[in-house]
Amino acid sequence: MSLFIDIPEDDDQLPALNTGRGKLIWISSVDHKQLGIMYLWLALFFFLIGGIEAMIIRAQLASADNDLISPELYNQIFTMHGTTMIFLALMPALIGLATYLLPLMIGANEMAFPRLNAFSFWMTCMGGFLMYFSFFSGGAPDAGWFNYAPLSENNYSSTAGVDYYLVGLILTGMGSIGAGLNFVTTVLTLRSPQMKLNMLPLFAWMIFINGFLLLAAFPLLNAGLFMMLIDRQFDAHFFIPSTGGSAILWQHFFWAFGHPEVYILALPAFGIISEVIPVFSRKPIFGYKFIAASTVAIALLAFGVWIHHMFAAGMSNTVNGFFAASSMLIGIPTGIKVINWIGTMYKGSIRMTVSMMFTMAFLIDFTIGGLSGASFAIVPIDWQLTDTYYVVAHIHYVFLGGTAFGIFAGIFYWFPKISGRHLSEKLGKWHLWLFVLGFNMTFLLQHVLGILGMPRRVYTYPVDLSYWEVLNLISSLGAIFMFAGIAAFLWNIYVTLKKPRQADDNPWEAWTLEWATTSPPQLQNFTSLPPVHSRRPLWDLKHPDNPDKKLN
Amino acid sequence: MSFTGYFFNIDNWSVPGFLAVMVLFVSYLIFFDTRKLQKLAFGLSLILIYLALGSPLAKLTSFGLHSIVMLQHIILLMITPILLLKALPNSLLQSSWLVSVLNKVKNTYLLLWLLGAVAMWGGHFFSAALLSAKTGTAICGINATAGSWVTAMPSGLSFALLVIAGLLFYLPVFNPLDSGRLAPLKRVVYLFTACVSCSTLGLYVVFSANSAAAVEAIPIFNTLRNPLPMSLRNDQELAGMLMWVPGCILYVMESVNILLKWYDGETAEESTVAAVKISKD
Repeated sequence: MSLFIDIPEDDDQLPALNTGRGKLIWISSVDHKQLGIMYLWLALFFFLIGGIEAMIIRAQLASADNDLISPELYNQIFTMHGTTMIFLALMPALIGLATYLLPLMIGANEMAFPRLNAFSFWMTCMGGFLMYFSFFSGGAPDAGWFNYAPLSENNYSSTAGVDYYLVGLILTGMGSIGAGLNFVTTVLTLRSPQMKLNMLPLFAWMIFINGFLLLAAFPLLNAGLFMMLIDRQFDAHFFIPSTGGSAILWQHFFWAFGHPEVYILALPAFGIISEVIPVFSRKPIFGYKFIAASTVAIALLAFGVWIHHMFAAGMSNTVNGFFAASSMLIGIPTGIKVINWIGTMYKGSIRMTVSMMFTMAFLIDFTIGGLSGASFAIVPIDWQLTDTYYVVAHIHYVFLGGTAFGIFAGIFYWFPKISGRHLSEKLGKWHLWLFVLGFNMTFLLQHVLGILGMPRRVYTYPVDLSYWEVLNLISSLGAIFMFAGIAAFLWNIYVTLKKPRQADDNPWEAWTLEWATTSPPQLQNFTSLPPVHSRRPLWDLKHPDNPDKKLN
Repeated sequence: MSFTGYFFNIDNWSVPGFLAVMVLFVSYLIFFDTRKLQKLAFGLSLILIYLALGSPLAKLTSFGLHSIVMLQHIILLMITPILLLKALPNSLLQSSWLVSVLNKVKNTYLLLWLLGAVAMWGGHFFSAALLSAKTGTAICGINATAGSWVTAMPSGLSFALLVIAGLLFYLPVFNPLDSGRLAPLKRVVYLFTACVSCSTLGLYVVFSANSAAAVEAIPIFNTLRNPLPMSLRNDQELAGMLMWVPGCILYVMESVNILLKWYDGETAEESTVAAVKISKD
């Protein structure tokens, strides 16, 4: 009797740009792997655009009384930088990895709704390009990435930039909702018959939970965006206080979405880290159930803490006090995860691959971001530091030191599976060290700048403020390091893709199902599946005398 | 009256209530053979009920404090029933009628969820009306007069209904019989949706506190709130926040506890071994 379960499906060759039936094959594809790859390219494209915008911002702030660009353009650049990095770089990168890997990890051949998958991608893509079209139609949005009312209303932002922001984000939001629905349904309906829900690989579990977050959070944002669009296009007044609306209401809509969004961007990165650390420590994950359960706790609590983004908006002390407490509480499940990751590495046989090194950078920098976040839960500190560079530093430690490092770790880890080729470890280390060094140069000092009182989004600053110029200069130099790191990454991708495919099916000796198929997988992911009786089916297959605890 | 003076005044502690609690607890110890944790759960539930109904905390409601009423609801509807279910003696579960009922309970989980939500919301609005009738001020937009029908309802009955509703609500989750519980993930969804319900109620109470702002201009309504000198607005915000944040966290903690057990997932072989072991015993 075969150990493998047969999966009946046709096995046409996976179409590719150079082997498929014309280049349109990618545009019309509904294959989860191609869509995942397209998401990743889209994310990389916008990451570069957002990075160039960051360089412009840092160039403008590198010296005092600088007027490299106009204040109006500066407003547009920082608004688009934040919006791009969050909605068009990090989100598509994470959704792309999930789209590519989720079916593979659960032993499925496709997502539950392949056409919806394609729809989600193209909505994201269209939303992004539409937002950038605003540069050619009177000016990009310039009210900051969270687009506060009434600044974003017609009275104060009369160009079409904010309208492009609204429509662009509505489209990307629809794409994200579609992706969330697909993730949840795929896990519930298409996983290997032997794989119970409590046996999901942690990345798949995080994506599953993230699917619910996407489904719950993005409708809140889209509702707010539609209301503001109605305000701007049809002279309604949802968010205009002078005519009976409420500007604070926009903040509620935005942050009721915005805080879960932090976890939408963090949970998949946690999932990546939870896959990478055990494989390169040669140990099973320490405390699977705590990592998985704390993910659910984070997801549930994520919707109950948004008001900490509004401590300075004039809520009462009673409200602030409770949200301070709940905001501190949400740090606990995240802390549990960090302890479990460290516990996994403890006494492990660690292989210092680039992926693992990015994971370690993640652990350090994300923890710093988490601690600065916890400091914002203390209301008086929040009042003092709100809208300063301390916030800028915090958000970058969470999204760049956390999410982006996680993505880099994931890219280096799964690149052999996705492309059949190994990224160069040597170039990878250049990428890592330049980027991590530059990142900390740029953003660690911004905590100090914030404490010194430098407001975020400020166009320039006078020369006679102590330490501002030198700290900003070092910060800008750090950005150059990061830029060089990304150049090394791009070069790495380029030279790697030039090489022939020679990666093994399971080059890292990993244990989850995506490594049970070819690298890269054929159009049909699996013709048969190994038996799945634990959370590490490939370990069990290789070590029948010492299998993991049987769970089915 | 000072805060400490109020709390250390023996008149504010219900002696009959205390005696009743003691009698109940001693009877439980004498008549039922239970495990230590069950005894602890029963004792805690009695302490909580006494705190909610017989302590100075309970008497604060006579000052018209909305937040105290909310605390009573949380204790009676959301915490005490869990403890009582945990404390249910095994000897009571020998009755085939009770076992049959407890086993069937999970089939009506939607109804029981609804009952819990109605008790949460209805109990709140009822209490808000009662407070309004007592203080003459609008609470959560509800304005009841001193002669309103709500004042005719015995408060003990409404509290008892809350506990009963809580017991019924929690049965699909904390049923003493394993076979009477919903599947673990269903239980998490059951609790999570309840969390949404309590958060929504809390959110509503907090953000409707603005309507109380105008009343703050009238000093008498502040003085009514001694010995916890809070404005009407702060009181209402506190009431809403109690339901919103700790209420939600309670459900989250229960959900996480269920998940932690579920991840350990006993295998079919292990459960067979366990079953064999039990039958041998």
